Amino acid sequence: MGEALWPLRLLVLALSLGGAASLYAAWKTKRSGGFAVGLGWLLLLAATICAAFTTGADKGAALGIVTVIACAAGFLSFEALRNPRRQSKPREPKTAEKRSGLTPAWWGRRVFVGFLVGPIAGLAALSVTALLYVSLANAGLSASNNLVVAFFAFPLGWAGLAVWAGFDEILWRKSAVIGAALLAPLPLLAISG
Amino acid sequence: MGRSIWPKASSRRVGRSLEAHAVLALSVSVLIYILIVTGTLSVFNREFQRWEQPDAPEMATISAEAAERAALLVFHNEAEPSTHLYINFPQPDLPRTVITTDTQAFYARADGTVGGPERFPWTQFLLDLHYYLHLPHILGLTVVGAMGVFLVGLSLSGLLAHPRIFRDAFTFRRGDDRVSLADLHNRLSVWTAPFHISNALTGAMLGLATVLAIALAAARYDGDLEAVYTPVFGEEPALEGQAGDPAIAQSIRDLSVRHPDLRMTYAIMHDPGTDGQHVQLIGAHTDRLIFGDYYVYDAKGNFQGNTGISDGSIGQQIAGSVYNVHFGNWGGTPIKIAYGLFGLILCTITCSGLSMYFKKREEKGRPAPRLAGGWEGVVWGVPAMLSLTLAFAVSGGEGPALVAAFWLGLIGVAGAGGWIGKERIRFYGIGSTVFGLTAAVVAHTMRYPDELGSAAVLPVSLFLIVVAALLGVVLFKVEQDGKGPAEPASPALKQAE
Repeated sequence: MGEALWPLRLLVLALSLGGAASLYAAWKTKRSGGFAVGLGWLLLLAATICAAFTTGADKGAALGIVTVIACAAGFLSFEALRNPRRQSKPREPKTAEKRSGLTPAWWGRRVFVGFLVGPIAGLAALSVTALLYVSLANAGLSASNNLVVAFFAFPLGWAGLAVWAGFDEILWRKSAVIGAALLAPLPLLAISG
Repeated sequence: MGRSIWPKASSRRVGRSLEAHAVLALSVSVLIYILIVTGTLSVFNREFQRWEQPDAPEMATISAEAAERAALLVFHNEAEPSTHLYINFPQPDLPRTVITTDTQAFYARADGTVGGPERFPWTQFLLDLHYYLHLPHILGLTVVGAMGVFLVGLSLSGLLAHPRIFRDAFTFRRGDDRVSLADLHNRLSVWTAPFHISNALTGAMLGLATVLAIALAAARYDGDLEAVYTPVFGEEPALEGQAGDPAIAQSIRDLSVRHPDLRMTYAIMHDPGTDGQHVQLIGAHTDRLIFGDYYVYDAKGNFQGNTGISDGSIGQQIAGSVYNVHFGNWGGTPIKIAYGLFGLILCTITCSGLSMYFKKREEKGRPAPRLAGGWEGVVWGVPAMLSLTLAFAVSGGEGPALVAAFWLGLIGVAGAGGWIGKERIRFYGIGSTVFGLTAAVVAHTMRYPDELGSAAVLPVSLFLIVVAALLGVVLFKVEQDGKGPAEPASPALKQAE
């Protein structure tokens, strides 16, 4: 069985190398390389699909992704080594900018945003996830699939809210969004739980 | 040059994403860096276990009868009846049989007699650092899970902040300025994204599972935690009249006949000796990402069914894959090496990100030499303290002493970095790592001279020596470049003083 799979494994390697090479070639042209880009991604996709047949589908696809990353890293290393080491230009030391921050209000805002990004966004994501879990359970989704949806939703929801909290400039708006995400599910959970 | 085919990104989106990226990175980079370094080393935890105790009895397989004999011997010699009894079967990367109770663990010999107690203080210290940051378990898991969340957030904001993600797919300008650091950071981040996103996400899932289960149990099952997990990991069978010694060997033989393709990893005896006891065997499916499936037997060795992690709902199969995807133990040594390299790349991404931040501040005329020195202290303090604790553990140190040595040492190195500057602390950090690794190998060789050439010792000792030698070369180069300890402190640090 293992011996018979070697041609397929070699094909995975060839497709991965070909895909990375095609993307590298497209990048080198620095202009309309649409065909090469499409071909590159197609070959990388084909490599992953073929890899799924070298062993169990899940493990095979994962092996394919690892092979693709390794091939791309190879081209990246080649590009890095090909370029001569640049000498950085000596810079004139700048005079320190006058900072407008560092007041107690500035620090207070920083600490508040820290709480917003961390525990508050976490609780908000937990609250939304619990509501999602209860809603999907009421809709008839099997308990094991529902639990896995929740496993993904909680960290992704938290990460999304944390990025949003860092992204939005307006403090009251991001506080309101995260606060709403935290509080809005609670009455619904009380009703439907 | 022709018109670019790549889409243009909104500069506002890029700016705001960079701000979000920086907010997250500055808040949590120290803990994330510690977790990445320890996670990278944890991939090889079985190799370190073998190395730490090279004189333990080893075997490629153990017979069902010998495994049962050893397990019952340990169980009957417990002062208090153990509620669980485990047999860890020999695996290719850890060819040892271990019998574990609620309170202790012993090696079994191939003939079913019991060897000495299991002891690998540094590997345990390393795993505890990665799983819990040495905090109380649920709190530690939650904090570690939260770091996984922030790493996912960093990946998301980093990708959003990348205005030319496709156009610059292979751009890599070498040098020692911020452009080179940015190229290094961005290219490695993009191409290894499948690894670091999946690893951060699975880490977050594992770490936050308890908190999530508590919330879901409260929302749906009146606080019954077991009801949350049962659909995935199965429920305990309601058995009666099972008292007496469990027929472990009979269960093992039966599973070998039913599924000759499975590799048995664990046997778990629940409430051994009691009326309601049962046996679970975990069989690894070598062509899958799942850690295995639970095969349940009563105390007399009658098959009761499997939990369904291998053939149940898609949710069960995904849940069963999370652990292996995170720890990289699903494809043998090549995958472990790949995970090791990707982990090293993630360390580089983290370090280059913060270095870019400090360079940018310098260029804007707002240098932060103490903070930069402190960060450099963390970057080199973590490997230095890990290698020094390794030497300490080989020389007899264990438990809280290792924990205290690591954290106090790391705080000291980071503080010293802020005081003496990043160039000097880098030199001392690398030097300490080289010293620690060399001392660990020398101490180990003196302690186990007869095991030097064994499969448990030679690869790890050689690896540690090669790493020490490579770092020695780096150290020499740092000195040659005039960034060693003899050099005066940087102008920015002098200015700060």
